[in-house]
Amino acid sequence: MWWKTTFRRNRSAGVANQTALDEAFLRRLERLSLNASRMLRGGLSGVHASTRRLPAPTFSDHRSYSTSDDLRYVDWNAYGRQEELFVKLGETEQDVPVHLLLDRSRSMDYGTGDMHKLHYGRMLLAALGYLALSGGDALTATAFDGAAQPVFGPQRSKAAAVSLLRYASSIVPGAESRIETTIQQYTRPRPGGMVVVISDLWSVSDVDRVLRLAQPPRWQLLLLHLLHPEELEPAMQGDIEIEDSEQGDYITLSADAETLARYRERLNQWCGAIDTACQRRGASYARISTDMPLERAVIPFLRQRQVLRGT
Amino acid sequence: MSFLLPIGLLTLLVLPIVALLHLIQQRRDRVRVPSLQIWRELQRQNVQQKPRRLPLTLLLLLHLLLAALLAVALGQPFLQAIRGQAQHIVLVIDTSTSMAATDESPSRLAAAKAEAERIITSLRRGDSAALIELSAQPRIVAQGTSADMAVLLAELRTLKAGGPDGDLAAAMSIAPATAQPKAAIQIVVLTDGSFRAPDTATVSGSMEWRTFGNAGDNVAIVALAARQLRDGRQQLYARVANSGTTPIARTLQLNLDGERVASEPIRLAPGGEAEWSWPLPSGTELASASLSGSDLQPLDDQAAIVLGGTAQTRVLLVTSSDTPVERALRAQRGFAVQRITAAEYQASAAADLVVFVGDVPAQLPSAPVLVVAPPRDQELIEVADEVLSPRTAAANDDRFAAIDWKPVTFERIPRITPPAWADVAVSSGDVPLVLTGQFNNNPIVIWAFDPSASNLPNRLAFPLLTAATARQLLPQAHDRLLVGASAPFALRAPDGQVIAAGDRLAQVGIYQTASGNGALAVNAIDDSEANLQQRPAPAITEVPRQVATDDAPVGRELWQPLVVAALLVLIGEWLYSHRASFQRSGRRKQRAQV
Repeated sequence: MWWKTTFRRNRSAGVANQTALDEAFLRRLERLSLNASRMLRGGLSGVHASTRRLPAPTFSDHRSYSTSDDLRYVDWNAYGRQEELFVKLGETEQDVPVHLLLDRSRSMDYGTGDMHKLHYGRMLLAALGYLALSGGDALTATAFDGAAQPVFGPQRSKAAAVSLLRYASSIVPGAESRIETTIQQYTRPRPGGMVVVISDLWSVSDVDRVLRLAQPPRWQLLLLHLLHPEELEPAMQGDIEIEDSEQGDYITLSADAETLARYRERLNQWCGAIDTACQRRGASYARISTDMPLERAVIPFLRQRQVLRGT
Repeated sequence: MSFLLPIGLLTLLVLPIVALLHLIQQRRDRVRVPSLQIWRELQRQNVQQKPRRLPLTLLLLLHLLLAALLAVALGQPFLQAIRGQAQHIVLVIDTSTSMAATDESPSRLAAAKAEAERIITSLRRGDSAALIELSAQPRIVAQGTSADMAVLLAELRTLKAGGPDGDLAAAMSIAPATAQPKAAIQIVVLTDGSFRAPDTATVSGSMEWRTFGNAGDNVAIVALAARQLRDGRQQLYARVANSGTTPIARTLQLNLDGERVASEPIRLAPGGEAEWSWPLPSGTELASASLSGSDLQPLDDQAAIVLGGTAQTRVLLVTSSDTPVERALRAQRGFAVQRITAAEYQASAAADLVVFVGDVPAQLPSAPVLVVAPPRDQELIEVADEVLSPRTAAANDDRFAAIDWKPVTFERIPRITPPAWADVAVSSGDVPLVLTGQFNNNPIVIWAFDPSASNLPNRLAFPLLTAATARQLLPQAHDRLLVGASAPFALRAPDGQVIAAGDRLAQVGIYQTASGNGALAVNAIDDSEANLQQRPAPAITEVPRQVATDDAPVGRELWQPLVVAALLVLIGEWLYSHRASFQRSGRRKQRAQV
């Protein structure tokens, strides 16, 4: 009856606790991999292309034999002609450290249901993390805010997928965050790798500095910019007070059509500036609206932006 | 609509508070966003803020309506139209002869009745009305509430014009008696202005005049009389008056026993009068005069007079012994007395007057009756064993007032208890001596005493008493009644209709007695009623009547429906406020079904 639902609280409001990915979706994810830069340095067990040349069956160059080289890669034909031992070199495939950084600041606690930004970010983290694990990459996932948080990984086996999903489900909204500080603290002690930052970037005061902190060739930075549909197209109207979810302060504004148009224009300028900065610094940028279905819209969109590759 | 607790309306002040709360609520309508980064820039760019206005939302209207309903309910409103102070309307309708004038269509009285009918049919629930006939003796025709509307209308339709000027003071005095104590009274007088009224009068309640008729011209026979000359012949006298404002030229026609004997041309200036007299032949029984042509008042264009002629009154005296009554009856002019015993009496005996002395038969005749010294063993009247000897007698009726009762002494009189149908005309203290009344539609007079047991036969009072009794019982020659008067006994109207004793004589003309041996002329001869000119309304002071303001109101209070309406508005407001929840719930169900 209609009144039974009237007194029921809206259980879909806020962030959902469960982060579940469809099994078929996970199988389809296995056919994809992160498009890691060749310049990155990782292990030799991955599937990513590398610029390193090592003795390998697939020929690309020669070098002189040195002690302890594997005799299987000696080019005996070249020895017959040159009477000198050469070892065949080939392009090797490597695994890269993948670092998934999910912003769990208060600004990410926005929206309801499946369009809740942090929930959407957790789903994205789980999907990309599973994709990294299935590609044999060393995955490290961290949900960050202003304080130190537990870290998932590094893990490089699909067997850790369940742990990854559990970790993603445990992420709850935190306090105020500073991305610059987090990136700096994260990248300084690590040798390099692919860094995927999932954030609404509202706490970024200087995006160029962030990009400098994780710039190639040591790092490959992917900025996944999560925005709620109401951030893209505000539906507010009339005289309102707008409250900052992180700071708690508010301003008074008349949200008329002209103001909303200015907002949209300014937002696009801001996103465009970030995109331009990313292109200039060799990073990848993708703006994702949380009303986009993860599999049918976001994954194709990331493939289009060459963040992912595969079929 | 009034309020029992007007101070409760002060809660209407909550309306601006509700509006203010909505204004404040609008100002505090806060939207949470992830960041103010862009919004601050917009604010710094001097985004113009419009002046704040009260948002005319459905929610605000519902809140205002809810507050207004509750505030009005606190005032305890109720409908005044159905309060205990319901109006009492007294309709005083003039039925004098002048109301028969035809200057209003079809007549003044008809127009007045139509107006009265309109007022009666417009009575509201809880109102009451009374109908008073403004005649020489005003009477309450009918009264009742709006539920008795049919009775009021039926009685209204029975009113007929005819009679002398009405007594307005008497009508005003009985008007308050028709209302409940402390009820508000509105007196509506429907008249043409022809009534008797004091120069100044006071009436309790409000008063309203509805006048009918225009200043119409009228020529009337204002006098028709006969007198006996010294030589024994009779002479007829007639007078005609023009009460209009224009000269008239008509003809006065005289008929004697149905034959026209004279025709006199009349030319009268405005306000003029003319007189005629004619010697009457011996034996003329009926004389009538009429005016040719017609005017606004047809009733007074004719007049008649019964002269008596040579016909004798048949008197049947029923007595078992000699009585001085026989001598007194035989002394009356025109009486032919036949004496029989009680054993010889038959109720069907033809007589104009039957006199019973010391006896009352079981069945009375259908003729006027005089009972002298009724015995104890009869059913007509209750006669006690107590025997009294009153000394001083006095008349209570004008017909017997001319008799000198002082020298009359009575030896033995049984005490008679007056029945309901009889009035005491002469009494000695509380001892009735002469009773008059109507019994079985016939006039009856009872002499409680035996004249032979008194000195009455030797006094002049005896023939005078006999003549007065005969005048009470029989239509007398030269007797004339004005239209609108009560029938003294059963009569047959000119149109053949039988008029019971006491009923109103509404037609002019010659009425026959029920026995067919007598006649009575009913005319509309009245100087005042012949004048159809409008007269100013009298100066009547209206005294505000003390109405029952302190009584508990019986009207229907309206706070209950107002509270119910407020409850419905509250439910509507609740549903409107939770409409988003209902929509979400519906979407969830749809998704679940998909």
